[in-house]
Amino acid sequence: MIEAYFIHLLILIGIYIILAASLNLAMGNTGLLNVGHVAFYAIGAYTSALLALNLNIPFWIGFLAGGILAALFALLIAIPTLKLRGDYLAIATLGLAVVVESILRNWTSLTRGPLGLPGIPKPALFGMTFNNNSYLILVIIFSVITCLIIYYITKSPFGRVLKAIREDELAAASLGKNTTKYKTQALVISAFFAGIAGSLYAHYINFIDPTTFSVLESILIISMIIVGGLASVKGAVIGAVILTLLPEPLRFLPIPSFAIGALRQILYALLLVIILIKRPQGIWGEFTKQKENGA
Amino acid sequence: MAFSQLIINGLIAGAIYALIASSFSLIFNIIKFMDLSPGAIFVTAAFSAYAFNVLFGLHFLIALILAITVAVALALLVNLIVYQPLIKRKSDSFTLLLASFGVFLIITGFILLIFGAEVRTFGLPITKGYELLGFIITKTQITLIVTSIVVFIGLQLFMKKTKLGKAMRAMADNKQVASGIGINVKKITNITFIISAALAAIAGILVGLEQNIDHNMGFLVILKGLTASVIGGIGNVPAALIGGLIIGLVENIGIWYLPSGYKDAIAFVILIIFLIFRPKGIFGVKTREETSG
Amino acid sequence: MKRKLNYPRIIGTIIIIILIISIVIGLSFNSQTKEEIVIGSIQALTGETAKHGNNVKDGIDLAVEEINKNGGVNGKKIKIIHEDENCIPTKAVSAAQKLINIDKTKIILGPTCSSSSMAVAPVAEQNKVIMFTPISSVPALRQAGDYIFRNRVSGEPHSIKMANFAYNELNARTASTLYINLDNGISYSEEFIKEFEKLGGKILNTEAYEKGLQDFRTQLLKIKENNPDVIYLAGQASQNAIKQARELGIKTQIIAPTTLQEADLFDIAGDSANGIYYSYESFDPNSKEQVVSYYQEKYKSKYGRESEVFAANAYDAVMLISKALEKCEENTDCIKNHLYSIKNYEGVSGITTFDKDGEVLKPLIIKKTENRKFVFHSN
Repeated sequence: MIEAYFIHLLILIGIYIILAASLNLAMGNTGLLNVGHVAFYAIGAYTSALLALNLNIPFWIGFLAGGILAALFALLIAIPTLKLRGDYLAIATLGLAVVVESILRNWTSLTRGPLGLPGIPKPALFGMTFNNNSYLILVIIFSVITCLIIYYITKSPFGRVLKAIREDELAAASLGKNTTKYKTQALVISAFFAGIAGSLYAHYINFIDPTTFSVLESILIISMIIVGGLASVKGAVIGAVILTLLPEPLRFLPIPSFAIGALRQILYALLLVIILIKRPQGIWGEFTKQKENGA
Repeated sequence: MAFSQLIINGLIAGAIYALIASSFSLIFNIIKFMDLSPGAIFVTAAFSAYAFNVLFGLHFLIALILAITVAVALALLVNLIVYQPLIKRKSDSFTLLLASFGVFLIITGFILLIFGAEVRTFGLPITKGYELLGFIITKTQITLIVTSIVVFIGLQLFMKKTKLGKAMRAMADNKQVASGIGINVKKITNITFIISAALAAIAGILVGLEQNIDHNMGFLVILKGLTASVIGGIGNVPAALIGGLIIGLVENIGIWYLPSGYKDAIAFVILIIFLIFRPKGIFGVKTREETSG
Repeated sequence: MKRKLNYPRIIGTIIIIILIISIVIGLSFNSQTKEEIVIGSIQALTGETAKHGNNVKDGIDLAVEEINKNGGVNGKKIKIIHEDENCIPTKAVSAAQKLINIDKTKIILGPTCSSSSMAVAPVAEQNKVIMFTPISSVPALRQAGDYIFRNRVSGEPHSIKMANFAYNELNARTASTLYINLDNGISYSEEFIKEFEKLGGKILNTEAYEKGLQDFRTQLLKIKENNPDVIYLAGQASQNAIKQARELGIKTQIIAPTTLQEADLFDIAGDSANGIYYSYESFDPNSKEQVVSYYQEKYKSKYGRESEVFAANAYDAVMLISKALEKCEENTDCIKNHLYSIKNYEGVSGITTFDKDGEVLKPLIIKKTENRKFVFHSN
């Protein structure tokens, strides 16, 4: 029975690995400070869930549809926002995340608003429904494929252009690269995988509502890649593992009833801040290597 | 009748956003990162004032001064043990943003621990507001609006006329150059945090008087403050207050016509529109760091 | 160069190993004794809903303390393990997985938030664990499974009662609703509109407010312009709406469902909160009132403030569960059937009956706020 708890944690870790690795492609490798990653996650989850609930479309098509719709949304917002840089892009994407959540909450005829979407079916294959154990295998397959694709992209010539844009966009442009096109492509790919993660989440928890997709979730995903290290798939994986596990040991501390919620929140945040101070460039970041090489 | 009241509603909400925006804007423009901790300072000051005034029975003005002192001390402490080590290691602004979120959770966690999750009030009598020119407004609300205007003028004068203000502007413009011409960067950083904390504290106490106090009141407010300071103008600290008033007005006029559930989204839609068409905000100025990079 | 590359790998591995070891150490310390019955509790102890989550926790703790003082359940003490859900469904599911698989609880009290309850329900149902939420009110929970119960009356009966009261007793013919944009606010508002229109009344406008926002002025102004006979204030955290309505000079009669009765109502809204009618789950005050006042006394002496309805719901939930445990030990099928068979249990939050869906039914009365007190008005 104990393993059921760890299987649950591993499934969450797998989903967060997809989210962190995909965000890392846009944020770490390309330098797009995207606080709105959760919007793509939400769109993937809602698309796949609504298709399954309203049209009986199986997960195997739903997850692709979720990814594609998230990617299309990224394409749509890329045009106006990607000319912004640094913190301005961060603030604009933060705004997008809030607006998307607000639409999910208020477009009740489609999303049922705060009532949420219950009863999202678990995926089935050849008449067999996935239980938690087999769902873990599914999540592992998805997260490994995601990591491999993103790793391959970052090592490809395309990935090297992204890196050049991150290091010095003007220089990259002066070499004749259409930087906006490259940045858009990076964001679209990143959004596609976030959409798939959303679909995996929706079909695992079987219930989604707007509260799952708040700005706080975005902050959690960003914490993962900052703690793990920017621009590195390994960093994203380590960050996802650490931050998903971080709250769990705190459950076992003997804390008197009146202080439970507050003390756990303080300890969690304290650990996060300590990790950040001790390792400000992340555990496995590419930036670390460069700074150390340069020095 | 209705329309003038609508404007006043917007100004009341806007004044709150304006004060917290000015607090956020100081750090964003001078220290150069998005600091969420003013949201927690805001809550701390409100609870401190409540504790001194209601629990210990001190006069309100003394409680006010003590609460601002607590807020400032807390901000300096956070700067010393969290932000300075990170800045020294040349962390990117996102690491600082996350650290500030951690600080936010720690401070509000302590507030929750000490005061519990119950809502607190200063216990002011509730009466119908004054009727002026076809709208209704209470004393606290007038204080809120007047304070935000005074802070706007004060900051404007401080930044333009005083030596400290000029040094701050120089640092906002370019830290290396500022330090090169003999500006004490460390001192200016501390002063920035002091003013920012004092402004957040005033905002927190006024909101506590106008509405009520709970441990969670800081997060939504700091998000709005952030939005306001961008709409007001990057590189122009006092303009953040104007941004706050604009958001307050547009939100309230917006839900007059739209379903009220969209209230939160309205501010951020305006933000995105501004960022696309006028990324420097209304009164934004180009700083050297941005033009070069 | 190579050594530097290994450095992060070591740190990352160490942190992960520490995390796993501390979980495992936690697990080994967690072994329960045979003399205890472990009950899990998942509440929103931090975040925007912390006030309600902590009230529920206080109600649970009070009940458990009392049961254990009186010798426990069949000689076994009850041990409560509280987990925080922060109103985030993912966190609630993690907490439930931990409670079910590590602590081996057969009963989960909670979650607080409706969205969290909806996410936990399938997990509880699959593991045949009783999920008894004291305050989640989302309508869909009714179909969520056999092992799922709640101790808060859903929005429908409250709103039907208040719509009839408004139309027949207050002679209101027009109404506006102001609801919290959450599942419970929506269902209060929608059911009220349905019933009020059925009676022949007219709804002039419906306005929403978001959880956590304290500025209701423009919504109130829209209502003021429509000038309805009554305002139906649907959902929690509306104290400031009452205050701001009076500040804006709105004299319209306000009515509300049970959520109005919060301990801090008069602290926040002062005298402006007087004269409001609302529906409430309660005893007939002329017969069994001392059960409620005895509870209030104990609650007040432990926590220094009066209990509101959510803490009372939680207290009753624990008492009901302990009765079921006495009869069934930890056999959840038996507990489930026992709960379904409960009829007219006289709890501190009302006379409690469960229907075949695990939905709680309690007779409602109309109460009124008067001189900063919540008083009985009519049946």
